[in-house]
Amino acid sequence: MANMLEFRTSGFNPYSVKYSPFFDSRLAVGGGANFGLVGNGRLYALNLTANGIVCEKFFETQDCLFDLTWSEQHENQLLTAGGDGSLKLFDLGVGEYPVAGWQEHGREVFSVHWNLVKKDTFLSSSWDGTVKIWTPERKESVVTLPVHSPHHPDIVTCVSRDSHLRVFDLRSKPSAQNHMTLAIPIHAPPKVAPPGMMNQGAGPTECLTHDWNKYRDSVIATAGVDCMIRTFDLRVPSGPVNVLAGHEYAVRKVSWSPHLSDVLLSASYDMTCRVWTDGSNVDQGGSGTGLGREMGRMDRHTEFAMGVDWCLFGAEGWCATCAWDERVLVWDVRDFMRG
Amino acid sequence: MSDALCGPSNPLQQFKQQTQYDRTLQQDRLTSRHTPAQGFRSIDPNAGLLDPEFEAFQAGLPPSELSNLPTVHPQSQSLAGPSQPPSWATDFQRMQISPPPSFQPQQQYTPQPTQAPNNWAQGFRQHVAQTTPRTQHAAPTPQAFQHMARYGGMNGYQSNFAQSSYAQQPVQSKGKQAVTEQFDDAAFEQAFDLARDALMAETQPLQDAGMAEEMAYVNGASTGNMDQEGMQNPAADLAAIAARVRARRFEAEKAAPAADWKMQEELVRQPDRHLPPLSEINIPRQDEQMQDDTKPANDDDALAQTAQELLEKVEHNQTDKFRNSQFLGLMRRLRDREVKVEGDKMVETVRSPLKHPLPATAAPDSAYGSGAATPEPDAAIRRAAHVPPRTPPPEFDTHAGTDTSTTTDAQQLNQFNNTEQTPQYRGPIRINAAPYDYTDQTHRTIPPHEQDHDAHRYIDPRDGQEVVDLLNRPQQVFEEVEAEVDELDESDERGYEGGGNGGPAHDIGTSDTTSFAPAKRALSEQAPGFPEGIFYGDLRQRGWSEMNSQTAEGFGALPRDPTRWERWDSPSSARLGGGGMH
Repeated sequence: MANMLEFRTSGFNPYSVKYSPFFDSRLAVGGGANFGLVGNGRLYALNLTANGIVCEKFFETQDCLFDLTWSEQHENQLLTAGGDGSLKLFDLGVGEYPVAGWQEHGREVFSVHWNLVKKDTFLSSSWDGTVKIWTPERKESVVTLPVHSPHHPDIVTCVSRDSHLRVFDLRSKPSAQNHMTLAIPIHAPPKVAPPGMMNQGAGPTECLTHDWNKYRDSVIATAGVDCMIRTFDLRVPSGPVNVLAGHEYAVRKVSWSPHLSDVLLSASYDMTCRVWTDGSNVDQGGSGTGLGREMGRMDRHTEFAMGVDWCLFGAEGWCATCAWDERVLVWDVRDFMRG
Repeated sequence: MSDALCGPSNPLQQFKQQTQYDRTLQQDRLTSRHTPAQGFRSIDPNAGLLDPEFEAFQAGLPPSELSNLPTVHPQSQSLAGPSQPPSWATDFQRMQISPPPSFQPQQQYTPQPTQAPNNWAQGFRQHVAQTTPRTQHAAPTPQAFQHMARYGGMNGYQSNFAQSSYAQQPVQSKGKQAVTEQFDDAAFEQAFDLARDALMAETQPLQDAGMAEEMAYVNGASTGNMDQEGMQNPAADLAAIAARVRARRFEAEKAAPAADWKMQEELVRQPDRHLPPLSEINIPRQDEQMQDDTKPANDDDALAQTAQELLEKVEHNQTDKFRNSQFLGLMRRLRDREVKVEGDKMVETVRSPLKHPLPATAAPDSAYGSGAATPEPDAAIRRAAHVPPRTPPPEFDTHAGTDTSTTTDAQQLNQFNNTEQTPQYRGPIRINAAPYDYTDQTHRTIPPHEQDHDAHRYIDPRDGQEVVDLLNRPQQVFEEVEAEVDELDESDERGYEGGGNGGPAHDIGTSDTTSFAPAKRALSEQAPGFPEGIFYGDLRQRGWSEMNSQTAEGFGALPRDPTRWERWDSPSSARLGGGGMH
């Protein structure tokens, strides 16, 4: 029996979970009632204690919270993406209402991310088809584009349902193509076909998530409804470097490990969370392409798994996942690795 | 670059721009730098070639700069065929006819007339036609996606980047090449605009017809249809469900009276005004009621149908997890019309449907979304949906032993109730997002909690401190010194008179640390060497400079707030630092 901590978000179906970048024992969960279809949302700030996970504080919101991100500037603040198109900044030390809010998006905000380098900016993406970039000090968005590199403050990437990974360089002229410098077709065939997997000419499918590798500054992983996780190297934008197959349903979230350059974690609608290596770790005999494999899976969740995040501190395997079974699980990836 | 893009392209100007740059430093840096992370990178035969280019991209060099990098292109040397005529058409044909799957550059040089339409504008129109909602059921041909890939990647940077990485561009003809490329960009920009206009024109009527929610998810639907394995997109359907439900609510909000917004703004602008708690505001949302009444069951039908689609997708999956899934249970009930969405709530329709939410005296457990607070009479339905009765879970628990089924109060469950999770009032968002009023007479200074928000600025605690010190301390010191000097003069006189008993200069020089302030000690340490005549004036001069260094040192040694700085530093170092490898 693996050591695992659990927290129940009773009445609310979590959509995302994030570790605080400041404290190793603090995490935040955002979700909504009725699986986010209708009803209120709630933001939990949780503490890992000797007695398990304790809710430190929660905030009620009027609509489901689809995503959240901790402020990189202030250890008590976190930003949420609301189903009513609003962004809200909460402070754990201040009252029961948000300390700031922004309302520009015309539809649900589905993702927010704080700039890890230029820490006074964050961005949001919405179902209205735009990505907006903000600073906490201003009420209006700074830039509107038709998710962030941790390595460079001005490079923005986003994935969308038209199966393209777009890279925006904010330093370029805004006129050209709205900062867009690269659009990578996610469904393109891999550069080197992995053994045993014929090139079946997959059509484009909706891409749901992506994440920048924390070590290799040109590598991005994407995943979506075609059940595959793909890794891309921006230096070779024509197609994926690696295709990781295994999930039975759409992949909702991927996250690269902050400790290991080749490891990533995914959450899927098949109710599992899986750990992968993209085979790039030279120390372990990987050569980079075509050798990614699943290293382990955690299938304790009993509903669609929605969010994953790695703990930045301490041992390298700890992570938190959340799913629509109203549970947040904190567990050690190494317990679920095979062999 | 910019005027080259906007205006007519002028080779001479282009050349001037190329030569105006001093590239020496950048090139030094680019060629000599080896990033520490290189060890982790995949071993890619192209890596050596690509790294400098990618770094140049990150360093923000303009695209034109990239092709000038002194990287070795072994392939390009051998493959540089006869120089092509500088026509943009041939350029275009060479560009990305097919996504290069391997390192076979010859393939890129073979034109494929079937795939590359002669008229690119026509090609774009084709593409537009294929992606517009009207033809959403037509499976897109590979051609369409090549178009997409092409127009997406047609920007200057990408073309340079990708092409040079595949060594498609003969380096020799770079001058001309650059010009034609600019032309290409402009042309494609136009074409892109054209295509977008066309797309907008086509979608506009649809949106006007009030089918916004359908439109927004047309893409999703089409991707769903594109799926060869139909089982794999519950996500898409889910999004569609949420969208339909939510789109309706957005419409309702749009219809909300403007006064509502005005009130919101007013509330936001007045931070100090006392606001009643959320629960006390309870303004009925008439517009929502209206919506519900006026809008027929279309949405419910759509929802039920979507739920049906989703259930079909997962039908074959007979694992316990999927059979017991509460979400899928809810979908089943949506499909069977046992539940419908009304305004902000999921409402039971099997037994008397409730028009209005119940008063908030209800049971704490109203987690309807998980199927827990459904009325008792539908226990059969719940069983059918394999939703176990659930107890309000404890605040937290460890993994062991929570699955105890308990009773739920029958009278509480007599009527469906989810008031807890339903907002009483979806009106004003009470956020004080107004900028801080610094002119406010009661707060003349920036409040402390806002003072540190100056991001990215390393505020050296020593900044300005020297000035402060000079304003504060010297005054005092010099007063003391002057008193000292006066004294000294007196004692000098005395000394001269009295025959040098205890030389004053010596007195100052050896004076104990306890008797003088540090700054003053510095002064006095300087002092003994000087004859008395110079002493006073020199003391002033030296004293200042001496004091400056002294204070600087002193403040450098001041302890900073350790936790504060640590916190600022830790996330970046933890996330971005190269360490932590196993």
